[in-house]
Amino acid sequence: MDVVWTLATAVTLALACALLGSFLALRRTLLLGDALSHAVLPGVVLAFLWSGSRELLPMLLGAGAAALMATLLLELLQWRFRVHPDAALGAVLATFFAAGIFLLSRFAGQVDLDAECVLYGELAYVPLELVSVMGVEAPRGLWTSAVLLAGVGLFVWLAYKELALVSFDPTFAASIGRSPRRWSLALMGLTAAVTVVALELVGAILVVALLVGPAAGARLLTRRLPQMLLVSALLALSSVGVGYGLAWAFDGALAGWIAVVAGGHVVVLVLLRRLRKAPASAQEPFAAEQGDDHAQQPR
Amino acid sequence: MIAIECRDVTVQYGHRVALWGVTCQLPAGRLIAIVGPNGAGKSTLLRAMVGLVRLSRGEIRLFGQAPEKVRRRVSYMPQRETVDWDFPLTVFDVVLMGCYGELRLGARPRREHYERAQRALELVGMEHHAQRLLSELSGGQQQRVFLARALAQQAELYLMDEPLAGVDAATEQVVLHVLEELRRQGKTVVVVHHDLSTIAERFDWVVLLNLRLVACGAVPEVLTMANLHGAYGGRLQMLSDVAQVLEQRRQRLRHG
Amino acid sequence: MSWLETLSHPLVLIALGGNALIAAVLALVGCLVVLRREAFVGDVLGHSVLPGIALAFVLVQSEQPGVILAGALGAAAAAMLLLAALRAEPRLREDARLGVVLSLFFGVGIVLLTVLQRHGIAHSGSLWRFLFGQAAGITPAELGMAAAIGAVVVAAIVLFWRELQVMSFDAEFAQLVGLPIGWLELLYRALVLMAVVVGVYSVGAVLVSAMLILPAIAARALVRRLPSMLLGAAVLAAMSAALGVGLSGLVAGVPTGPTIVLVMGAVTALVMLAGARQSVLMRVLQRGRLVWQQRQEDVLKLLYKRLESSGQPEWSGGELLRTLLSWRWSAVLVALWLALQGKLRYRARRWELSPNGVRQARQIVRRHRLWELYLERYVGLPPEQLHNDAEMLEHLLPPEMTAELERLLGYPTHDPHGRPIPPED
Repeated sequence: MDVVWTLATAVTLALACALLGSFLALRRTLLLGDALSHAVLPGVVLAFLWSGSRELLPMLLGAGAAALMATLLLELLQWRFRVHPDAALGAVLATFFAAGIFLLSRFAGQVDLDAECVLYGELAYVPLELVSVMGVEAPRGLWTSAVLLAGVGLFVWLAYKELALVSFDPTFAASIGRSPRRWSLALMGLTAAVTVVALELVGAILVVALLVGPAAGARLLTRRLPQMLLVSALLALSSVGVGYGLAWAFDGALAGWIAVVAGGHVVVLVLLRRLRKAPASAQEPFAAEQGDDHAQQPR
Repeated sequence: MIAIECRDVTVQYGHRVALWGVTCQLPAGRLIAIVGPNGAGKSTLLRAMVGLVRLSRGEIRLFGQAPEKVRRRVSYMPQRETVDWDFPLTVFDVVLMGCYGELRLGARPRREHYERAQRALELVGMEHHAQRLLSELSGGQQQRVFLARALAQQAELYLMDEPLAGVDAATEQVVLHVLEELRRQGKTVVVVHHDLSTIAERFDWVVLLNLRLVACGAVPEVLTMANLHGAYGGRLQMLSDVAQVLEQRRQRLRHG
Repeated sequence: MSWLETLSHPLVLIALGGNALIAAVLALVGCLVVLRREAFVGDVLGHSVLPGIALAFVLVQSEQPGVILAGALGAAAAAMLLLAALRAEPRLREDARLGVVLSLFFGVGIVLLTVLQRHGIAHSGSLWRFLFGQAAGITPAELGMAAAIGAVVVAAIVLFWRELQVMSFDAEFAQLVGLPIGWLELLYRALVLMAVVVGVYSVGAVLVSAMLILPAIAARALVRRLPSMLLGAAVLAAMSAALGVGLSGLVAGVPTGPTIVLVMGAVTALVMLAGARQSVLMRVLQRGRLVWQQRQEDVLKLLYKRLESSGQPEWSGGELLRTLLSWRWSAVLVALWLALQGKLRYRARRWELSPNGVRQARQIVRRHRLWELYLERYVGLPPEQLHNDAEMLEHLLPPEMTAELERLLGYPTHDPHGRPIPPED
């Protein structure tokens, strides 16, 4: 039964990450996800110290505050001090994470988290803490990640067309009154929320892997947005599944293995595509030209 | 009737001033061209009309109202280089976006929207490419997709950024035909254009821009005036040089 | 033990010196990295060192510095190669590429470390220090190694300074002028690799990118020129590292790596807020000075015009005061300042502009009227708008531009309102 709980939790989280990651990938802001997942740490630790428990709400608030501060700092560095976005992102990410680790180590006795756990999580401990909701008993981690997945799913379902619009053509979106800034903030907010939950369960590294891997793989495999979302979900499932298998066969941290599979299958996909494309690549520019021959005259 | 009114419109991007004190009135129901050399602020003026850039001074009114208030009556077509054409969408998906302005959060496009998008595609001669992917389109076809999206908006005022830049002959025909059709329907169309020589035959009204407003009026008048003054080009270089110096200093003080 | 004794302990001294050295090396290379806009590559490389370290340990079953170092270098090089290989796939954007390499390598690293730990392989626990760094535990052997690598990096930067500079600024141009761009690229990559790897010894795999980027950002805000930026970054980084080590040695239970990074972060923030060229304080001062200068010019102009219109070169105190107040009350203060500078003087119970003051006033009026003429003739502005624009321009124009303007206008003598344009002295 423990195996089922662990897997179910990992899968739920992976699905939420894959959905969000797909949009981040299309907007080329996957690194921002990476940065956020690191930057929330000091907020989470402070919330821990303050509330003395693993209650989700204080943690979310703390993480939200940290994410907000990081975002403001990023904007300040970029616009006020003309620091290149990459450099600003890297600087803020690492400094915040350092602050988090510092707090964790300084108050090690009082916090029910440790530095290594933040990095690669304790998925195996998920089944230890069962909570009963409406008569159904399941691990607390599974409940929270299920709520999260439902939230992300609902968001994508409701705002699918806005997200597509804003990601494809922000200028046009703004011209019809859909603020690209507001939507990207919403996306970032959700990413931060996923990160907080995941930080405790699977660790920062796996969040990054699950945001990046399935989405990047799906981008390579598919050519339409709905398919891309579907395939990224499938790749997320396979990452967890294969990762679990490997962890069972070779031992080692489950989160580490899942990250390896999530990143690894993108590398494999690129390799396969290169091999397959090599002979066919000469034909590619042709496709566009053919289109012109079919061009219709106006009527 | 006046469709667009600009009063002392000034825009700056960071260190650079893009538009400086432009005041003009554009009549409704005309084909209007915004013309000027590179970096003259043509696109900026168009973007300002849709409320996409913040004015550092002055104001713009569309149909006597603020741009944000009349979004549904305005259709904007960006330059096609501004988006990633490798995005995983089909032609039809993009054209349908023209209707998104009327759809609330969570609402799916309905039959009428699908029909509108279909009609717009037919108008630009792309109905057979509806299910093609964006990555498979040629430059001219991309332009027509954007044109179709603008048409699907069914607006009163059409603002188009360089619809005739770098397109093949067939697409140029399509664009000109659509412009003609819109004029026939009594719509106002403002087009950013880079070619002074073709203005006379295609447009009614022209805005001559070079950072400053050089001239604005019916085509015959403005073109003669432009010729007389030789105002177009070289001599205004001084002005833009100065503007750069000025804004650099001002910006340095304001934003560091 | 007092804090002084703690800090003067030989081991602590080694830690202080070693980490300062490593930080300086990272900062030097970091300047190049930031200029090339590859800041995130440092993050990915730092993380990817981990599997190499673990593998090296598995192979030799001991923690020989040389072997561990080789493992780290190998893994980082592999990550760099993979990153380059993935570039062949255009649909995989830079952010996705970096993310993929990061999760793959760091995932393998975590797996290897946990396997080692669970199998209870002797001493493997000490490998964990490479995650967040235990700079305090730096050994003399490691210090020697860091010094050697640091010497190589500094030598390479000094030797190939011009080439690296050109390449960082404009790679295409570098190629055009015939620099061996391939080799330089390789050199640059090798420098980054070495810096990141020694950095892992100090602050750990996860935080090394901070020590790469932060000093460069801070130094860039502080100075303009590239050589001073490198020097500044190195100095700031070394100081922060020493301070960080010292602090973590004094406070129990605090890991060195994060402390160093936090100190560096605080130093960067401080530089940005107070000392930087673009800091808030400096800007307010600058602005104030400019406004003050403009006011002086305005008053000079006011008096000159008065002189021009009445033909009367001197005023009584009352007349002067009325003229000044007719414009704005602060003009009186400005006039006082002008008097102190000798541009306005009191002679035989009358006030007048000194020759110096007249000269300056003329130049301002000249600029103003030339501009009005230009704006009227070439921009076609209506007359009522002319004055305001010229008003703005007259204070800010460099002399070359005024000369150019005069040439363009054909050395005119009168402005659009028919007033004379004073000649240059």
